[in-house]
Amino acid sequence: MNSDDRRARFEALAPAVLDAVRRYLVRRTDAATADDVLSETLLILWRRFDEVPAEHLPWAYGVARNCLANAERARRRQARLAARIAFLRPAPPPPADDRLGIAMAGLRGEDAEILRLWAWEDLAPGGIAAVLGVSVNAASIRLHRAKQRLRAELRKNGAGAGHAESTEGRRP
Amino acid sequence: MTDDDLRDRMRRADPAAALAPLPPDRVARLLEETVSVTAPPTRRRVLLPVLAAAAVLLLAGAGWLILRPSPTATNLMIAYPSASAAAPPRHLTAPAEQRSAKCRPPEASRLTTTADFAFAGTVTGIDARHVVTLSVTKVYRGDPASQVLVDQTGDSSETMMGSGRFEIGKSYLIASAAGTVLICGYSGEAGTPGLLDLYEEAF
Repeated sequence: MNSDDRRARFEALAPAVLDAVRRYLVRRTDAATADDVLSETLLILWRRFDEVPAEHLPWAYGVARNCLANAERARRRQARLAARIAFLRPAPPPPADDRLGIAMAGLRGEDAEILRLWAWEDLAPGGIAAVLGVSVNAASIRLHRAKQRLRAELRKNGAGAGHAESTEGRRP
Repeated sequence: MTDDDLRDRMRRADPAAALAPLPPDRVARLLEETVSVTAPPTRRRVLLPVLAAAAVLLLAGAGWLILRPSPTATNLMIAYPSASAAAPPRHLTAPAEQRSAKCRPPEASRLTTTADFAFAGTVTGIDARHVVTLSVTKVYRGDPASQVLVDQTGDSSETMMGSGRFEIGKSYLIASAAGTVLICGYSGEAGTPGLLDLYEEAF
C-alpha cells in the first residue's frame, strides 16, 4: 500500500470513526478534553492504520479510552490546567433521568462503563470485549451482571419497571 | 424491566443524543491536520526508538567519515596475492544498526571521493562469528587483494543493496573507507541494478 492509497483509505474511514469517538468522549468528559482526546485518537488511528481491524469502532473506542485515561491522569496531576479547562468549557450537564443517574452512580465504575458501552455505543459483548481488552466470555458475563445490578439499584430507588417515559429523542 | 427497556431508558439519558455532527469543514480540517502534522507513519511503534538510534548513528557516521582517523587504524582484513605471515590480513567491518536508516541516492562522485578500497568478490564462506570471506575477482580501487573478510550485519537491512546480507556463492561489489563498508547504496549484490554502473563510473 503506497502512502496515497493509505491516506485515501484513512480519509474514507475516518469521518465515521471521528463521529463515533467524539460521541464516546462527549459522554464521558468535558468538551475541551473531548476535543483534545479526539485529536490524539485520530493521530493514533492514522499512525497505526495498518493494524486497524475490520471491526474498527471497538478498536477506536479502546484507543480513545486509553487516551482519555491518560488525559485524566495528567489532569489530576495538573490542577492548574484542570481549572483552566473548567473555566473555558463547562462539564456536560448531568443526564435528565435523575433516578437512572443516581442508580448508575451507585454502580462500580466498571459496571457503569460496560452498560454505557452496551447502551450508548451500541456494542455487543464482542465489541465490549475489544474495547476493554478482555475475552468475549468475560464481557458477556460482566454485562449480564451489570444489568442485574443496575436493575437492583433502580428498584432500590423506587424507579423500577413501572417507569414510563416517551421514547422521543432516542438516538437513531 | 427487560434488557430492551433498560437499554432504551439509558439511551434516553445519552448525553450525546442531541450532539450535532461536526461541520464538514471542521472534519476536513481535523483529518488534514492529522495526516499532515504527523510524522511519517511507521508500521510499528517499536521502530521509533530504532529510527532515532539509526539517525544518531548516521550523524555519528557522517561526522566520522569527515574526521576519520588515518587508514592505518583500520580493521579491514585483506590477504594480498603475495601475502606473507608478516602481513596479516585486516578485517572489514560493516556498520550495524542502520536497518531503518534512509539514505540519499548514491552518487558516483561521492563514491569516488569517499572510498579508499573497492572490489568485486564472491562469498566463499561465512564462519560461526558471522565473518564473511570473499574471494576477490576485481579490485576497483586500492591495493590488489585476493581475499577480504567482512562482518555479516543484520538479517536484512538497507545497508546492503540486494538481499541485504551476504550469502555463500553470491557476488558482491563492496566499497569501503578506512576499513568500514560503505553502505546506503554503495555496496551490495553485484547484480543490483545500477550498482555496477555506479562502480564503473566512479572508478
